[in-house]
Amino acid sequence: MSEPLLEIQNLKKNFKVGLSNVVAVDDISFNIAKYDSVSIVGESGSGKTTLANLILGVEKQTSGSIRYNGNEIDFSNKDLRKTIQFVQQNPLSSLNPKKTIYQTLELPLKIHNICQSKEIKNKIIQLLQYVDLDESYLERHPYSLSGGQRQRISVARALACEPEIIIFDEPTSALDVLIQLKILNLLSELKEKLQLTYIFITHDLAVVRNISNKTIVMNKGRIVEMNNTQKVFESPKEEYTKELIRSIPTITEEEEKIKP
Amino acid sequence: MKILSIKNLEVKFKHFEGITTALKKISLDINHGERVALVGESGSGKSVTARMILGLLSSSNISKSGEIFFEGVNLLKESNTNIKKIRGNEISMIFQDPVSSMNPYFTVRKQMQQALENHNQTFNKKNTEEYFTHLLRDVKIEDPARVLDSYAFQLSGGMAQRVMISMAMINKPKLILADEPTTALDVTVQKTVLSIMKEVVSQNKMSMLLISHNLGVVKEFADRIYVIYQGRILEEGTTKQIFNSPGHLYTQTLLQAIPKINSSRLPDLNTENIDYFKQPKFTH
Repeated sequence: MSEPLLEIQNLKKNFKVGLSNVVAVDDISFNIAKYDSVSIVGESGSGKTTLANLILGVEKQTSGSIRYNGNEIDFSNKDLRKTIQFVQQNPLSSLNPKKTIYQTLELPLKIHNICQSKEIKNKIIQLLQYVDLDESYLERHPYSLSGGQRQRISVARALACEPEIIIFDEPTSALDVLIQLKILNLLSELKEKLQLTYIFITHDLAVVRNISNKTIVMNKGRIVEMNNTQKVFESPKEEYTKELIRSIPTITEEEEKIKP
Repeated sequence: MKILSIKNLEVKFKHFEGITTALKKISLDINHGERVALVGESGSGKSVTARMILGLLSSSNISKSGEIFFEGVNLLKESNTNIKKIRGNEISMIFQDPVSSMNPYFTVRKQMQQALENHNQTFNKKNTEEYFTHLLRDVKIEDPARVLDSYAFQLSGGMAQRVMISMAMINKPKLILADEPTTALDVTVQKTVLSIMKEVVSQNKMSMLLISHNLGVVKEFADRIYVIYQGRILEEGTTKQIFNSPGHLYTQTLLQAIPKINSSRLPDLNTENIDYFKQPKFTH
C-alpha cells in the first residue's frame, strides 16, 4: 500500500443559517492515493460540493484535517495551492466572458510563475494541444465556442498550473452524450499522459462506473459507503446506495439485470 | 386517431449572420392517449418544435412553413386570440427548470388560481381550494396546505417540478408538452417524478410529448420515439424498435455512447467526421 497523496480525517463543516446550524460535511475521513480516480456521488444537498471546496481551500473547515503528502495543507502557500486544481460544472459561467482564450490561459501561468514570459505563448499552445484544440482558438471568446470546446478550455486552464490533483464538479452534466464521451475519453488520456489524480463530483452513476476506480457515496454530509467502484456497483451494502443504483435510467437489459 | 399532427414543418431564423434553418420539414404525429418522445442533442430543434406548437415563437425574424394540426385545427393559421384559448387550456407545458419557471412573487396558490381563472371563469371559487389540494395529492405531495402557501424558492427541485405538473393539469389539457422535465433533478427524484407523470397522464387519458436528451428517461416513459438531429428527424419507431433494433447510424451511435453501468470502460467510438445525413430517414 503506497503512501496516500491526500488524507482527509474527521473533516467537518458547519454553516450558520440564521439561528440554526447546518452540518454540510459531517465527520468525513478517507484517503486518496496517487493516480487514483475517485468519484464522490450523492444527491444535491449531500455535501459533495462543500467537500470539494474544503479540499480546495475555498472554505475553511470547522474541524478535522486535510493532509497532502503527509503535511497539513496550508492554503496560504501558493505552491501548494496550485497542485490542486478545479474544473467547474458550467464552463460558460466559469470562464470570463470578456477575456480571450489566450488571456484566460495566460493568467494562471503568470500568477504561479510557471514559465518565463517569452515562453507563455508556446506553453498555451501546448495546453490547447493537450485538449485537442489548436492555435486558431487563441483569440476567440468563450461565447463563440460550443459547450464541449468551452469545457476543454476549462480543463486546459486547470492543467496550466501543472497540478497533481484535479477536482471535477459535474464536468459533463451540461453536455450531450456524444460530447460527454469525447471529454471523458480525453480526461482519461490526460490522466495517463500527465500522471494525474482525479476527484469527480457527480450524480451520474453510469459515468462514475466507467471512469473511477474508487467510489464514495455521500448522503446528508456523511459517507454512506466507500469501496472500489466495481464492488459498489456489483454488491452495494447500504440501502441508500442500492436505491441510487436502482434509480439510474438504463437502456439495456443487461444493465437492468445487475441492478440490486 | 391523431391529436396532434405536424406536417413538413420548416422554421428558419433570420439573424445578423444569415439564416439558420432550425427545423427542416419535420413531420410528427401523436395519437390520443399516447406518450411520444422527441430525442436529440442540444441545438437539434426539439425545443423549437415545442414552442412552435404553443405558438410561442412568432416574431418577424422567423419564417415558417408547413402545418401543425391540433384536433383538425391548423395552429399556424389561427389568430392569436384563438391560440391563447388553446394554450394553457388544451395544450399545456412543463418546463425544464421548475423554480425559475414559476413566478417568485406569488405563492403556489395564487399562481394556480391565475392559471384557472385565465381559462375558466365559470369555476366556483369556493371549490378551488379543494380542487388544488386534490391536484397536489395526485402528484404525491403529502402536505398540500403548506405547499399552496409556499413560494417557488421554498420548495425543493423535485417538489417544485411536481407543482409544475399539477399546474399543467389544472385545466385538464388534452396534450402536455414536457421540455426536459427531469434534467434538473437528482436520479432518485427523477424516478419518482417520471412515474408520477406517467400515472397522472394515463389516469386522465392525456397525450404527451416528452422532449429529452436522456435516452434512459425516454425508454422508461415513452410509447413511441422520434430521433431528431440538426433539425431533421432521422428515425421514428416504437420504444422497443428504437432500443432493440436502432436503424439509423446516428441512433446506433447515440445508444453506444451512453456509459453503461455494467462496463468499467468508456465505449471506444470514433464519432469524428460522420455525416449522419447521408443515411435516409429510417422508419420502422
